[in-house]
Amino acid sequence: MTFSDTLQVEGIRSVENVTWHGFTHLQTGLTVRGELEILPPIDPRLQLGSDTRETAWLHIIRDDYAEFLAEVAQEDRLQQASESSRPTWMIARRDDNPGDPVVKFFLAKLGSADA
Amino acid sequence: MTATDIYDFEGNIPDMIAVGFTAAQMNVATVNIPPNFDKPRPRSELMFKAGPASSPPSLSIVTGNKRVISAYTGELEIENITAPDANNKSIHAAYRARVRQIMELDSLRSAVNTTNSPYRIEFIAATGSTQTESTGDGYEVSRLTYHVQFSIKVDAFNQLAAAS
Repeated sequence: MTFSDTLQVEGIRSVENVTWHGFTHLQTGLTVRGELEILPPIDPRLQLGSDTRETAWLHIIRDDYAEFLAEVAQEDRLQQASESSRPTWMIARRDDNPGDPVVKFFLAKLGSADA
Repeated sequence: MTATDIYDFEGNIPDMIAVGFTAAQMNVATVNIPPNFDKPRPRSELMFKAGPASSPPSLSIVTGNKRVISAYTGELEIENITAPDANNKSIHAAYRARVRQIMELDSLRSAVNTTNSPYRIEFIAATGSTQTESTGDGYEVSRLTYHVQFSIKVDAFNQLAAAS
């Protein structure tokens, strides 16, 4: 890890307990913590009207979760730890740029009636 | 029998076809189903676009010795949405195949051509399909289209005349 990366990671960790969320990877049971970057919801624009699903980028520090990063696959599920509810997200995309100490996963929230 | 019961093709025909989907325990939506924040997936949405009357026109003689056009055509669009499926689209493919099975002519007729229905499906034929690549956004969508030819039963016209 470069000095620049170290500074970035330390900056992220300094706010970790304030803004980060915990997740359980339902395929393996592994837990991770990361920051959710909220995005506009995606609507498939079907003819009978809106059917949006909330989306977000999940940022996790690469060096902290090597086992999770080795196991995770597209379309896996992450259950968010929350006091009020336990929403489940699906991993739709990954942005794993080696120049960034953070790996990003594009998440789409699953509806309560989704299979 | 009201005019809506007979002439609201766009509302009535999808609802009748939806019965076949519900019987197969599949999620289905039509224009008459109230909006919902959280629509289930997988799901099929049925839209009917009325077309011209059959040519040459098919006429029925109804109460009062009136002639009415009784056979029409239209296009049924079925939009199917499922979870994404990076592995060869097999989940979506299986769902779409099930929809095609439900839309087989005789299965459809048994769902629509009931005693209480004002309509009789004469013919339905698949006219094509398209698929949207949306795996990275968290879903898969395909659209199936069907040409539909149907007629209105003389009894329905007579009931409408009696009620008018």
